[in-house]
Amino acid sequence: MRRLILIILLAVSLAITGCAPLRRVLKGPQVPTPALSVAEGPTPVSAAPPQTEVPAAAPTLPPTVAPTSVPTPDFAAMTFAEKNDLFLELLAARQAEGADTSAAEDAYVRSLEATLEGNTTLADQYLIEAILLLWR
Amino acid sequence: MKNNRFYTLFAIAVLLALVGATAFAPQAAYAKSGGGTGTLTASGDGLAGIRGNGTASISGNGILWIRDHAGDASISVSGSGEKRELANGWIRYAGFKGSATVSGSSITVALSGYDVNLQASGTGKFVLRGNGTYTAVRNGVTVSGTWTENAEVQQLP
Repeated sequence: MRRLILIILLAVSLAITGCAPLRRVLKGPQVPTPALSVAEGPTPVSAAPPQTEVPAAAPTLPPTVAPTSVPTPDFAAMTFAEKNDLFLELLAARQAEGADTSAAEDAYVRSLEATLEGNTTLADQYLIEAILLLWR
Repeated sequence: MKNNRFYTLFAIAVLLALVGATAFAPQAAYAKSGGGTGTLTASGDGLAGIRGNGTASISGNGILWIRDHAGDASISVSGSGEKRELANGWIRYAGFKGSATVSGSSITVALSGYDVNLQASGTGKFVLRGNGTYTAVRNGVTVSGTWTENAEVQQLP
């Protein structure tokens, strides 16, 4: 009799173990949803050059030449959407100026191709290259 | 006699376990795409691109990219944008604001910008990077999701 109880317990435990996936199924269908991207980086870097403020209280001073080089954005802290927006802003600005943007566009095409191949690293590398070709 | 009953019960237990493990195992949905065609509807900001055989209708603001790999595409573009045909076969519309419908046996259509809406039917693959949502119907099964930060290629159907 004791052995019978032991066997029944073993049977029940094996059945429960085997049916463990049932619990996951009963919880609801697990649709493979891609991860939601969250923009947690700093605010997007504006394409517009910084405006130098001239102090109104010192009009007699000779005009100083402010450095014109703008530091490049912190790409590592930017999301794809932020980098992409930056590229679009810069491209529109340079095209409005009549500048030749073909090199940057070629780099963006390479980024697009890499994206369609699922190569995020290469896609971002070319996207950054495209931005830097338009950056001043 | 007791041994017989022991083996019978043990066999039943093993059988129950096997049935439970196999019958209720989660299905590997979409691991392999089957035949037929699928449909895709997506909207968001970022980059939406699709490549394959079928028809894609896309609208929004930004840069529109079209490529006809097989030379049999039907391309219809309306709206504004500066068109440029690149040496590598790409057609680009910068400052694009409008819509386009492209059909063909081997096409690529992509729009990078904001307020992007994409509808496509056929077979191929697509990428949705940025912020947005999509619904795809694959072999009669509807699946919804969000655009991704990384370039994640998904199959259609």
